[in-house]
Formats: sequence, C-alpha cells, structure tokens
Amino acid sequence: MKNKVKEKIYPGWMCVPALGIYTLFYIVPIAAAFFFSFTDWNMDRMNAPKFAGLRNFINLFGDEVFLRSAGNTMLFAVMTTVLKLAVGLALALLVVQKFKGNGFFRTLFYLPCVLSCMIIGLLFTGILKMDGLLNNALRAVGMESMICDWLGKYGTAMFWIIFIEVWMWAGFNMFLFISGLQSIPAELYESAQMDGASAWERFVKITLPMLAPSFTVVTTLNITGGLKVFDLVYALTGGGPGFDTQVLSTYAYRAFGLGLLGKSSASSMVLSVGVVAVTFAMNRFLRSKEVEA
Amino acid sequence: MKKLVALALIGVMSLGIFAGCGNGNEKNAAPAEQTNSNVEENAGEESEESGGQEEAANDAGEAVTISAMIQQSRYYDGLQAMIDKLKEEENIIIDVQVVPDAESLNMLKMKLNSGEAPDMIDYNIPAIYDIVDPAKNFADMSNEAWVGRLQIPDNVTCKADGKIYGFPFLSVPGTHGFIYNMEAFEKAGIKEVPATWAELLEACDTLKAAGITPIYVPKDSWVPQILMTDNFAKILGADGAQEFADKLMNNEAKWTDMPELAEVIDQYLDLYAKGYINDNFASATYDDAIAAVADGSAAMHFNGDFFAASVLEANPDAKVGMFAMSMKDGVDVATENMSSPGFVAYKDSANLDTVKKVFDLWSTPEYADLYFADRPGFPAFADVNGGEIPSYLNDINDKFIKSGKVIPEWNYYVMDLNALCESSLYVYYVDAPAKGNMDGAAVLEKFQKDFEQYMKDQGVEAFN
Repeated sequence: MKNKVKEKIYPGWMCVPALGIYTLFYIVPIAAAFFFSFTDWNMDRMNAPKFAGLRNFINLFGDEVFLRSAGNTMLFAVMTTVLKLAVGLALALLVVQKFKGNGFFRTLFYLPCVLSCMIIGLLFTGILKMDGLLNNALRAVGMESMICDWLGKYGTAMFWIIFIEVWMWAGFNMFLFISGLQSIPAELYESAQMDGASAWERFVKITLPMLAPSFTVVTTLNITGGLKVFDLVYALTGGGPGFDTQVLSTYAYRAFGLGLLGKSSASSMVLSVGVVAVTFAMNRFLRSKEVEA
Repeated sequence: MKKLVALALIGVMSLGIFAGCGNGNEKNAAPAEQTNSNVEENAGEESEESGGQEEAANDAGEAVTISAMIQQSRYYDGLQAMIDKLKEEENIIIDVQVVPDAESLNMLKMKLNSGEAPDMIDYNIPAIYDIVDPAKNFADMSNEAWVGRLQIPDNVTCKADGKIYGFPFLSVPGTHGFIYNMEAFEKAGIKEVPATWAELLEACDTLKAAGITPIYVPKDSWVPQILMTDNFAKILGADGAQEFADKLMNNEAKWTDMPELAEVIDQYLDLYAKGYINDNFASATYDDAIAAVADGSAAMHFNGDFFAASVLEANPDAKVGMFAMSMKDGVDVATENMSSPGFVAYKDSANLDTVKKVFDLWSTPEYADLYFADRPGFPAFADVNGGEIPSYLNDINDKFIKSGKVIPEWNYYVMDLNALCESSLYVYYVDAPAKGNMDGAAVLEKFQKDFEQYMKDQGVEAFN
C-alpha cells in the first residue's frame, strides 16, 4: 500500500522544480498585483502602500481613456481573431495540397511570425509615414488621392494595426489548420464524393466540423493574444494619435509610467480577469462543438 | 536508494535552473522606446543594462569601474569622448546604462527605492531636486573644489538647504524660440524676422503661399507643449507664475482660473486651423522635424536652442537662425529651461570617491571642452571653452541673455507634475488640433480633472 502511494506521488516530485519556478515567476507576481491593486501604491511611496479598497477600480471605470482602451482591445481581439482564422484557414487549404514548392510557400507564410514585433513595428512605421514607402508607391502609380497620414488618424491607424497583426500571425494559424486538415480521414471525402457531394458541400459538411478542435485552439490562442496586445500597438502608434489606439496593456503601462503602481496593477487585474473569462467561455463553447471522426 | 536518487536529481535540476539565471555579469536586453531623442523614434531599440559588477581599485591603480545611468537623448558624442578619455588616462571605466528618456525618472525612483541606484545618474540639475529628495539620495558636492569655479552656482543650489548636489555642464541651459531656416525665409521673400505674433502669422501666410511648411510640429508630445510653457511664463511673469503654481499645488486655484492660459492654447490651435502646421503632425517624429528644417521643406520649429544644434548636425550647410517670440505684444523676455544636463552621485555608492574624482576631472578644460566640441553652448565652468557662441544664438544672446531678460519656463514651477503632464496635458495639445473637438478652455478643464485625480492618488492632503 505504502509502495503504491509512493509510486503515485513519485512523478509529482519531478514537477517540483517547474512548479517552483512557475509559482515564483507567475503565481507570486499575480498574487502581488492582486494585493497591490487594492492599495494606493505609487513610486513616491514604494515601501508604504496604504489600503484603498475599490478606489482604483472605481477610478478606472470612470476614466474615459480606460473605457476607450477596453473598446479598442475588444475590437482588436475580435477583428484579428476572425481575420486570422479566415486567412489562416484559406492559406492552409491552399498549401495542404501536394504541389511542387508547397514547402517553400509554407515557410514564406510562416516567416512573419518569427520576427520581433518591435522590428515589425519599426518597419511599418517607415512604410506608413507621410513620406514613406506606401505613399511614395501610390504617388508613383498616379494614386495621389489615396495618400494620407496612415498612422495619424484613428481609422487608418487601427486598420493598419489589425492588418499587420493578421499578416504576422496568419501563417502560424495556417500550420495549426494544416495539422487539423491532415488528421481528417481521406475516406470521408471519398465517400462523400461517391455520394455526389460538391466541393463546397464537402468543405461545409466534413472539413469544417472535423476542424472544430483546431478552431478551438486557434480561436483561444488568438483571442487571448488579441486581448493582451501591447508590443505592436506600442511600436506603431504608442497608443496615439492622442489616446486613440490605446489598448488595455498600453493603458496599464501608461499608469505605470505615472508612478501609479496601484492603478496600474488594478488595470492589469481587469485585463487578466477579462482574458481568463473570455478564454474559458470560448473554450467551453467551442469544445462542445467538436466532432469526433 | 531510489528516493535518495530522486531527491538528488531534483536538487541538481533546481540548482542548474537557478545557476543559469543567477549570473550577475550577464547583460540582459529589454525592449525600450525612444521618446524625446535625437534619432528617429525606434520602438525596437534595446537598452543594455550592466550587471553592476565593479572591479575594485587597489593602490597599484588598477581599473575602476563605476556605473552611470544616462538618458538616451543626452548620450552625446562629446560625453562619450569624456568617458573614453577617462578610461585612457585614468583607468576609470564608466559602465553606461542608457535608458529611454520617458522612463528614466521611474527607473531612477525604483532604483533609489530599492537601494540599487547606479553610482552616477544623468538628469536635469536642479530639476531633480524637486522630484527626488536630494539630501536623502545624493551626495553633497558643496565642498568640492570645482564648485568654486561654477559661473552661476545658484543654478545648481538646492533652495531647501542651500547645498549643491549636482554636477552641471551648462550655465545657461537653453532658451526657447523659433528656430528657422534662413534659406526658406529668403525663398519666400521674407526679409525681416517677425517681431510680433501678428507678423509671425503674416510670415506663415507668405511661407504657405510659397509652398513651404511654415511651422513643423512632430507628434512627440514633449515638443508642442514648449510653446505653451514658454507663453504661460511670459504672460504670468516670473513672480506671477510662482504664485499661481503654489496656489494650484495647494488646491487654492484651478488651471481654468487664468483665462489667459486658455487664450495661449487657442492661439496655438489657430496655427493648425490656418494650415500653418505640417499635415502629418499626428505621426511625424522629432527626427522628421530636424530633417524638415534642415532641408528647408519647413521654415520654422519652436523648441530649445539645442534643436538648432541638431539641425546643423543633420545638415552642416544649413543656415539656421533663432528668434524669441511672445503671443502677447510688449513682453520683452525669453524663457529658458532652467535645468542643465548634468550628473548627481548616489549617496550610498561604494565608488563615491571615484565619482567625485570624475566630476573633478570633468570640470577641467581638458575634459569639459570635449563636451562642447560639437555642441557649442554656455559652459558651467569659467575656464572652459564652450565654443563660439552659435550664430543662431547671437540675436537671443544680444537681446535677452546678456541683459538678464530671461525667466524660467512655466514647467519649472510645476516640476512635480512632469509625469502627469507628459501623459495627459501634452497629449491633449496634440489631440485637440487632430480632432478639433477642444478649445483652450476645454483642454484646461479636462486637465483640471486629471490633475485633481492625480493629486488625490498621490495622497496630497489638500486634495483629499
């Protein structure tokens, strides 16, 4: 009996180092942030924070910049998830076919996601500025009427942030969908074809339902990543023009820059709770739709 | 036996993981952003942090390494030359930790609070005295030999206790005005520099008609606000500004109580409405502003005189001038940024003697001349060659500096609000013309709310 208990807990010992590091670098900071979000902790009183109750949270929800940040974050998360899903799936359907050079195309589409966000932000800042590559190209082809300050207006700035995010990560989603597509038994398509199903019907009735697990993974990852976005927005617009493209992470960073560590912790907590809630809800919903072959 | 082996394995794995993370000499890179810097805004730039390891000096004169935190926009070539000279001649190595300007203050406060401040810290002197308690954090330099050679010791003296905590490079830090490209003016047929605000607007009309951008404003929020900090101070006067600032900080007055301030902002917004500002003001960078004035595609830019030095660095053949300007007629003063770039020494530094030696050496012409080699200015020390007074400063020097008609900018009186202003008021100055939804009064009303909330969050008694 004793040996059986020992055998059961033996693997657990192997997890101790990883759990220890995870606890130290993830759980402890999250717990500390949770605690400090209820205090008036700031840079000038680093060692003497005072309990402030819900004041930080009340102030947050009364701050129009915070509300705008929340709106932008939701818009970014939803739009990029939908677009990355669609583009990723389309690319996967293309490159999953066997043709010469499909390995090259898979690499090409995947490449943007291995680049640093900051580098990409720098790159596109140069492309999108008033005298940048895009406007010069438009001028060269006689489309001067389309020239504008792409990052200087909310609409176009937000459009480009979403576009660049989709451009970066569609390739990553493509690979997730490829693995999903490759796991669909070929017999299903063969029988459907024999029964006279069209290509569209096979896609809708077989491919999409069988890809449900991939959709779960892709959607969860993208929604989570979208809600936590920081580096791309910071690199491209810094949350500007004005506060127009602020997202929750840049808002928390701004509060940190003001030395208002309690407020910054509170906004981080709101973001964390939001991400967890949305992720759990989506995951639960999508898993209920999964179909076994 | 198995248990012992398992425990030993766990112990070895844990040690291995922590040993890899715990190397004090390892340089770690962190993403950083340039803000008010001399180079194009680059969000991908990384700053290097030193591990803080110092080699101990011994009597045989072995190398001594001291750490210094320097703001990115002030890591000039001249300063690097001084650092290199120290290494060559004195075997003193300065381990430079370059930080983005916008984050330097927070990093400084965090490092001071955690007792891990670098030996030398670059900041504006005496601005830093109002931000961080100098007596508690910085070494007293009042009795150092170089203090006797300061041209204007009052500039770096702490008002609270009369002591000197900072080592400055400049005696006259920087005056504000319009830096203009003379060739752009000539091209537009403007023969005389404007002397009043009305004349400035006429000149802008002429420049616009000639296809030249009259005034270039970048999106970097620290730039447009200079016009306001300049004119607020001129309109209130030095004494009036101090009095109003004191009332604000004690919750005895509101930002909206002085309609003259709203009028200044309205006149600033008017420049945008009339099309005198570049179209891409919401996305253009500080480096774009330098380039535009350097190549003459833009005629003017309002800033400190250091901007002119940057224009000449970008285009040594550019002909650049500078004139001070007030929105209100009859105001015969210029404003200056009261703080000089300089260094303070961390009070609890283990290398304080070496830092003091560095300051001593840096005050001598052999070192200090290097600072001004590419960026002429007014040196803090009497015997240092600050270079020929730049031609663009002649006019301001003759009319204002020599006769002492220079007053501090408005921001000097509300230094404690620096972080708040950078993240709200200065952003409103960019947002208001972009959206056209706020006039001067609306900007100040909005800022008043932010100000009250900030002061409450900081726990200031008068606001709670």
